[in-house]
Amino acid sequence: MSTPLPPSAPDDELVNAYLDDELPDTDRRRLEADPGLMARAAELAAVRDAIRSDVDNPGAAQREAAIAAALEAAPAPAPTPLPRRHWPRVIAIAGAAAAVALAVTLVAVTSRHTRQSTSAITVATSGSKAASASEAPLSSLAGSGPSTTAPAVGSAAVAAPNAGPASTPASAAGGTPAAGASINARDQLAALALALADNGSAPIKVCPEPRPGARYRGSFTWRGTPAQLFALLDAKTGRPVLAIAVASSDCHVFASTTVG
Amino acid sequence: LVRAAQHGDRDAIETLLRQHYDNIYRLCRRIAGNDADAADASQEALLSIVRGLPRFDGRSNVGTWIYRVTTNACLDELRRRKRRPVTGLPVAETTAETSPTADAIVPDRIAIDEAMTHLPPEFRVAVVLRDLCDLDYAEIAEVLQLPPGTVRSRIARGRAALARQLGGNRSPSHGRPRGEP
Repeated sequence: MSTPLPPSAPDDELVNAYLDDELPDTDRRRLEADPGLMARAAELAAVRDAIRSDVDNPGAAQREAAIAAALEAAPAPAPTPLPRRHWPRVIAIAGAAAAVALAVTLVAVTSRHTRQSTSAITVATSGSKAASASEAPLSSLAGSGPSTTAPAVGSAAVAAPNAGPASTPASAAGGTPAAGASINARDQLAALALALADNGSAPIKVCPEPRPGARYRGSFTWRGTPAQLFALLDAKTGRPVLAIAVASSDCHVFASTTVG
Repeated sequence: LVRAAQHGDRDAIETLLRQHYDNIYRLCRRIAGNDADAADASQEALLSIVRGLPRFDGRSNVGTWIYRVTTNACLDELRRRKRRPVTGLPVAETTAETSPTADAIVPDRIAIDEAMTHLPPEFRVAVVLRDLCDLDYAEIAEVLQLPPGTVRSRIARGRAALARQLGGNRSPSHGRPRGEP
């Protein structure tokens, strides 16, 4: 597209910069003291003013038609995110309530743990010895996908999920789950295994003291979507839930399972 | 407004387009050189803006970004126009029955359009962004993604070429004088 133009006259760049208010004061004073340069400035100013003038605005009909056509081509609106201001309060309430519920769970499970030797999914444990014991079955679940074997109750914060249908709906097989979508027990376990597994990123932290409301997994990929794993409170039942949430543009919980 | 428009809010998109439409059209009109091509180019610019909004990263002013999109739409229109026959109105037909005011203005408009048409597009765009859109050299450099020194040179050479073109065709007293800096 480039077509050569003759080089500009000496000092033309200086004169144009003067017209465009892009000249330092020292150069400006020097130029204003030179009648020849000021004459050239007047000539180029006439050109500048000619370009500025004489452009009609489009008619109203043309404007409306153009805007309407552009609006028709606009992409569909994005889903409305949850109001952000609700989240700190929800998480605070969830944390407090979940603390109580998980403490109860901890006591119950610990007493049962003495009678039961199996454990599968553990987020928090009461000691380093228990932690090392709990990691073995997790590694066997990692990356295994949906499992039909429901593990026994874990030792602390995250117990076996007890919600959802027995099988996965076909529509929930992939992609980003819809808001409020339920999740069955089998898929929940698969998600937990994925979240808890050391799949190249930092493994989940084993907490000596369960802290409901805390994130148990900063990020992992659930059904192709970056997700986080943490405990919340179910607004309807008041029970703590293990939630898998995506946090790309907003904190959008799309799956949860009641804990304990 | 921009954030809402990026999320697909129709009202926000419409408001944004209305805010900028006249400037978009005027830029297209000066670069394209005639009303028909300006209408096409400004329509393409609006479509590009609407489609590109979700990808606008906010690093530049939205107005600067809109000028960049518009400029590209205009240059695309010029390239398309090169591939099809030009059907401009003869001067005599345009000026046959006009008012005295129009008698004074129309020849000057035609002279400016003619001079602009002879200016290579890369110089034309730089001059128009400066003189019509009132962008400073740094903003023009951002729109055109060129070094500021290149912008300065193109404006100087473009105006000089226009001065030569308009020198014999146009009364220098016609333009609305503005205060010197």
